[in-house]
Amino acid sequence: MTPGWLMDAGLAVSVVGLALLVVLARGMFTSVVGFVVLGLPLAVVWVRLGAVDVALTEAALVSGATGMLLLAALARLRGAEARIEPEGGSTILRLLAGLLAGAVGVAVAVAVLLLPETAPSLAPAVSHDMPALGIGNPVAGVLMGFRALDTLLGCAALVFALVAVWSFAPDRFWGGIPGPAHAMQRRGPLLLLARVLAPVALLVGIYLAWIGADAPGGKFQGGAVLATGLIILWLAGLAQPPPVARRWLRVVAVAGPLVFVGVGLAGMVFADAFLAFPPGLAKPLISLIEAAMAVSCAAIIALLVAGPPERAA
Amino acid sequence: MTVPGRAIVFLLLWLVLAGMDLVDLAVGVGTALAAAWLSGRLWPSSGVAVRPPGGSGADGGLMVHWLDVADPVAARITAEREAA
Repeated sequence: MTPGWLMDAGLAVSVVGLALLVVLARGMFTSVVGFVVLGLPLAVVWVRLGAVDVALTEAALVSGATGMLLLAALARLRGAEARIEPEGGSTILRLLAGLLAGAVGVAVAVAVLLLPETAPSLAPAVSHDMPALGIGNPVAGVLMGFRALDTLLGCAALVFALVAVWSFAPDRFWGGIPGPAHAMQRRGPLLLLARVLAPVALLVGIYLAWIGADAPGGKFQGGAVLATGLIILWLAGLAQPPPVARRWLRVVAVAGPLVFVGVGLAGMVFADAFLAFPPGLAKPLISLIEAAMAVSCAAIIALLVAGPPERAA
Repeated sequence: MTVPGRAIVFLLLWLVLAGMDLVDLAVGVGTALAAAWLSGRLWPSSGVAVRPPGGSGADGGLMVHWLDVADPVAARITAEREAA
């Protein structure tokens, strides 16, 4: 029994146990906290599988940002939980849902077990063409060099998500400040966390965005960490989100996708296709897109967590 | 800690993360300065002065109270009572 085997077994028990906690917990708060905690062993699982980029995404976006979204939703539902839970569905419905989920799990397990010993892979082709891009991170190479259209659509989806959230604003608050007002902390752990973590989040977020071309990281992960710094400042009352009517805010939110589209269109002129990079300019252009997208991602994720405008500017 | 001191700490953190590459270092210097500026805005160097009055308790044990002599405790409590 090797240490690696023991670690994997511990991770498997943690993941399954926490997943059961999320599903079976009586209270919504326990479920949400379980979901956030579940992200940590899942991220370590991805590291064990050699997918550090996915691990960062799991920790920053799935567990971190989504967890905060769920906590924010829970705060809005406070008081209504007692009315919602009894209407959670009949026993038969729950049983059917459980059976369906179990069947999906078994199907996925069978599919994994039936994979051929040497899985079909485009990795050799990607590795062959990576030097032309001039970047060292194969994940970034696939996302920006070979599946750039998918990545662009993912970036655009963030903007549409933000518009959708803002559209929930009552008419009288349209253009106002997102989310509820948070009292300014005078003392306590939240104030300490905000003062210490916000500058560190700034540094780590920029670092992740900067090194994404050559090492695990990138615009989404860096943007999520930057967003975390903003959110904790807002929660501690040391700053507040800008009114959504501010033009600069909207420019920041769409800058990343617009730069992405602009580079793509330039590819039609200077290279041979939309989103194609001229020879020798791939890395600078990818870095430009990543930088603009990191800023947009940070703003959008933070504003998604803040929610629709709830106060006048 | 002063803001320049914090900038050095943030730069060291960057070096730990990114290494000594010159291009990375240029970005790191800018990032460390930005982080130090933000830190200074959030938590200005106050030069908090503390002194430890000591004494012995009823059981003879050593008692030490660390007081922040710059903290206007009396004024704050008075204001809170008046507000209540």
